[in-house]
Amino acid sequence: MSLRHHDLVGAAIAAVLCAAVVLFVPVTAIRAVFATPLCLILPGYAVTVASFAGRKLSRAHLLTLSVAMSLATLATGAVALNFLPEGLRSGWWVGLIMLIVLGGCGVAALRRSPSAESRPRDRLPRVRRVDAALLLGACAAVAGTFTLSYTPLPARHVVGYTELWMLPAGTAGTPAVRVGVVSAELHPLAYRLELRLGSRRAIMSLRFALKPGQAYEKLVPVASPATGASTEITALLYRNDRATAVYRRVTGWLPPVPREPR
Amino acid sequence: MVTLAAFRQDVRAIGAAQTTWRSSRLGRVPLIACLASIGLLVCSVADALSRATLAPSLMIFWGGLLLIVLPIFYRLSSAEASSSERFALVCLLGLTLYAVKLARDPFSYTLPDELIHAYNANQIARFHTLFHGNPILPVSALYPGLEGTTSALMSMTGLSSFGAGLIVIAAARLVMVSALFLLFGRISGSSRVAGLGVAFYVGNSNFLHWGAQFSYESLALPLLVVVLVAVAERDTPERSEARAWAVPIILGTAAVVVTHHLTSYALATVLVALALVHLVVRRRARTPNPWPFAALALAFAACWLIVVASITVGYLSPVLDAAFKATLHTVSGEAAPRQLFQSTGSGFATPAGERIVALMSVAILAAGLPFGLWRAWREHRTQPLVPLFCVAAIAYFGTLALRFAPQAWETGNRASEFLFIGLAFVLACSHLERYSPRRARRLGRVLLAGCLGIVAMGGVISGWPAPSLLSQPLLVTAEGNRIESEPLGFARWVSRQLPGRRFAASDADARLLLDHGRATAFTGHAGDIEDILQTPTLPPWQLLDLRELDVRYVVTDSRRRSFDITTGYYFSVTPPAGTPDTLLPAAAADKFERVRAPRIFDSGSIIVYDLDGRP
Repeated sequence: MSLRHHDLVGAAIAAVLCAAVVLFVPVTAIRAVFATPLCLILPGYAVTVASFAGRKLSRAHLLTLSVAMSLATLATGAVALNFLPEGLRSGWWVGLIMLIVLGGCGVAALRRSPSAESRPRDRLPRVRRVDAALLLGACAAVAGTFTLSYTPLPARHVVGYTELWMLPAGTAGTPAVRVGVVSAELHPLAYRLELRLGSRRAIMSLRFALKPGQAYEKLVPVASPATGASTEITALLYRNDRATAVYRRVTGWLPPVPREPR
Repeated sequence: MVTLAAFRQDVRAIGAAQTTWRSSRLGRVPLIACLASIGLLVCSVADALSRATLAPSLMIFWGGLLLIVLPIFYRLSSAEASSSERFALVCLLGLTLYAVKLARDPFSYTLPDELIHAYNANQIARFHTLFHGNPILPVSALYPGLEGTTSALMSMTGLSSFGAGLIVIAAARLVMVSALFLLFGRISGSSRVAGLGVAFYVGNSNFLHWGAQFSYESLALPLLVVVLVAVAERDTPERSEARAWAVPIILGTAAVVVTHHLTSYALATVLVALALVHLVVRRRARTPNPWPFAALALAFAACWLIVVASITVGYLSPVLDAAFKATLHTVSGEAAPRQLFQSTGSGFATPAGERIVALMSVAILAAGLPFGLWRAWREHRTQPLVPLFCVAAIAYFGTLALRFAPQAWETGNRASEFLFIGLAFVLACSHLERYSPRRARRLGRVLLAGCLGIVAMGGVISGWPAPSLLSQPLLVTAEGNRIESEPLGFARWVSRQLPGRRFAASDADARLLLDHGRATAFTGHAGDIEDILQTPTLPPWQLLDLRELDVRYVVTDSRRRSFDITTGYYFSVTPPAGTPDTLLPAAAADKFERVRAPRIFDSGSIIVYDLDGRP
């Protein structure tokens, strides 16, 4: 690949740089910035210039084909990588893309006639001050849009809720349950959590308060009565502002404990 | 007749002549980009107000949307704009409208198919192989083009399927509008017709939302258009030039085949039709017939269907069969026609003003059709794609009639995305913009931009129910902390406590469980789950059905909305933000307690029972 083909050399260098960042920089945001052109522009560009070596292609065609052929390469490349024992892993993806980019650029360089000029150096159009100001305004509006869109807002008219859950824990010899409460209410709330075993009265009662978004979790060892049958365990959640009404209820079964022989 | 050389010269001016670039300005692109961005900001304000449950007027949204599209339409209709400026404008149009969709769904996928495909992408990223199956839409896992592409970005960057999917679909949107521009320009020889064709295409009812969702068709359709561009460009007597376009055609066709079933069949059909038309209109010309590519597309699609995705037949045939029967029943009067502007899921009726706009948009399309057909036929009939576009334009109105048949409207709606390509080209050929009476030189352009605005609005109205046009509360703040909607919060709980387990749930809950819950969730007609979750009794067959699916956890959701895949994901709201939820009878959940299934999770509306935890 001759340095005369500055577009091909540029694409190859860009691919190597992007691949290096993707492989060695462990920061998602930075990798995303470099992986996007590596995945969605460069493979298609290489395929396009290899196919149309020596022919003039408009910038509109080049842009469209670069992105479209990149998408097509990745879609079909996924099927190809699926046959490898390692499958679709980051390293193989980078390898495949590098192969396509470097191979495509190489083929394009070979197919271009030695006397042919490579694509002329692209120069940006001259931008008037008023145009620059308008484009800056557009960027500001887009930035405002995304800031507003990605900012969660308070919503007075949504219905808040509280999650109560209970899952078995511990072992057969030492049964236990994990109980959790998650508040997604709109205001801080005080709760009372009560655990009942079978038809007996409460074996545990806890009071706590949660702000919206906060969670409470507790591992509760339970001594199951030796009845020879499974025992039902019930967790009841009350709100302090409505102390008598059960707000949430979950249940579970403790495995049977065999009666000890007398 | 317009020569192709004119358009080629026109388009090549975009890049070939650097001197032109140096001396040219950006035209009106900066001004229009600024207006479009402000329009986008206005749309996002409407979305933000809606998320904050302040019940904003939809007029804010419409105002923003019109601010985006009208300046672009007006400029595209002018004779002065350069080809490069028009190309920039259609790219701006496509990407800004995609940003409108992003502003609606900033925190998660919420469109019907998105969560299903996100699950597929997550599975690929997790297991590093394709074809892992999908419990809700099994056929989707057998067409992994989109998810494979997305998983490449996911594995290279660490982005989630949501982040990576947004980037991939943005690229697909860009390809869609730019390829349409090139296709229409190549056929008409006019960049003005090309730009207006894209402007008309934006009025298709699936453009703003459905076609922009993270779903396999959103990638396959743009690639189909690229293949058509390549086939059209290949239509030249120069052998070497024609040969160069073979690579995009073959690669594009292969990508379409592995990405989406219907699009691959549509592509094969178009290429076969094109080969036949070519025989008729180009018998004496020395341009190459595309039959080898038609044969290739047929072979690729047939191979993939037989070897990989044979269940596609079982998936598509009941849908098409039901559509056909419903149409027959409606035509014969055996079944009552479907009520237009009535959402089947939520039962929401579109307001009168919006109905009028939607009907006006159809009237505009119908009124422009004869003029467009006449002009397109007279000026471009030697282009093999033009007869096909004319047929598609007429067939589009046939799909509108399908909207009256209860089970056929969706088929008609989905077909419109393909047929609208032909209609858009035909309408762009009608040349309303050339109407310029002496006293009002720009009247034709103003009229055309206005008509395009109405068509765009009409498309949005017919494509998506009005209550779902704006963003809904999925993630809000309370006392400075973030809280998520009940179904989303439940899905997050599952991902923490029970990942990978098997659930039966309502449609919306199951979709969230797939993506955010990292679980396997069944819903709908699979195992009669829809019935099981709504009936107050628990006959033995229900437990047998659940056991057959190997489901351990049953998720009951008392909100009827949870069965609606467009509105079921969000917070319940109180007036004025919306109407309170209608609820299922409590017995629909309590019945599982009668078989002593542990009730392991309770968040008010959502209750989970563990069928294997019974004593």
